[in-house]
Amino acid sequence: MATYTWYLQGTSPTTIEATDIIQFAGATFDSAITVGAYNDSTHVESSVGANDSSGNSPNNNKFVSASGGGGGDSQADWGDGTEDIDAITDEECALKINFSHTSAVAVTDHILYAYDGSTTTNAPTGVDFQVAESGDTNFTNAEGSASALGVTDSGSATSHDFYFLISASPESVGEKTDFVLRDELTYS
Amino acid sequence: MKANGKYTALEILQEAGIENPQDVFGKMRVRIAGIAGIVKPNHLITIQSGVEKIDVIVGAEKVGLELEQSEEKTISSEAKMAIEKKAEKIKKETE
Repeated sequence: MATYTWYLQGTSPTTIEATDIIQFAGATFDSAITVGAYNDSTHVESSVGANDSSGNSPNNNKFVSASGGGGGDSQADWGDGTEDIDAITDEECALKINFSHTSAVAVTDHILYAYDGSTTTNAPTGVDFQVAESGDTNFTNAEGSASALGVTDSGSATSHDFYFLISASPESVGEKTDFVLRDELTYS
Repeated sequence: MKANGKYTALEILQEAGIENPQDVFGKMRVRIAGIAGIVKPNHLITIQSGVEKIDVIVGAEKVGLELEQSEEKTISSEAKMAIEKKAEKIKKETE
């Protein structure tokens, strides 16, 4: 039997349930991000608006540049100022996805992207979304399935952990809700 | 070679003692740790933490590769180069 669990990492991980919202925000929960700027904090919001990650000091990965770092690397700020993203550790990544299976399986054809919540080929509405796998040198502007981040294949195991930097920026004023993250993989 | 790491297929074949490993891709069946259909030497593979042994199959030859355990994640220099190449390709495609 397969189990898929998403976490927002922090001093303790917060499990992201299927009905929860990953909230990209300004400095604090429910605060706005300036148009064109990126998230200063990341939270798990319940379906009724509660701050589920409030006690866990959730990690934040803020996109800084696509290729402004050493050797054309992308840059982000995860709390220590601007750094090349290949310097991040798994523990510093905001998003962790665990895929487990009762028997050992390999994971291939794994992709992660954002879409509008209706059609997977569509980009999210009014949002710029950036994602990178831990160890990557550059962010992927993963908007719509055709632009998805390709995640490294994972050899046979009963538990597979995947770590991602995630960051988002509003392209206009107002809360963005046509914005869904989707992870697809094949196991065998 | 350590678990909790990211490596290229070529490195894993070298570690497994496959003869002339660079020559097998695209010519013989290569299956590493349950991942089938590997046709490129720079195919990236994550080996999860806690995995003690992986099977490496090339053609009819099967080798069991024992892994050291490590709490610290390893990304080999060859894997880093493959990641950089992948990023270059994506950049060119989006330009």
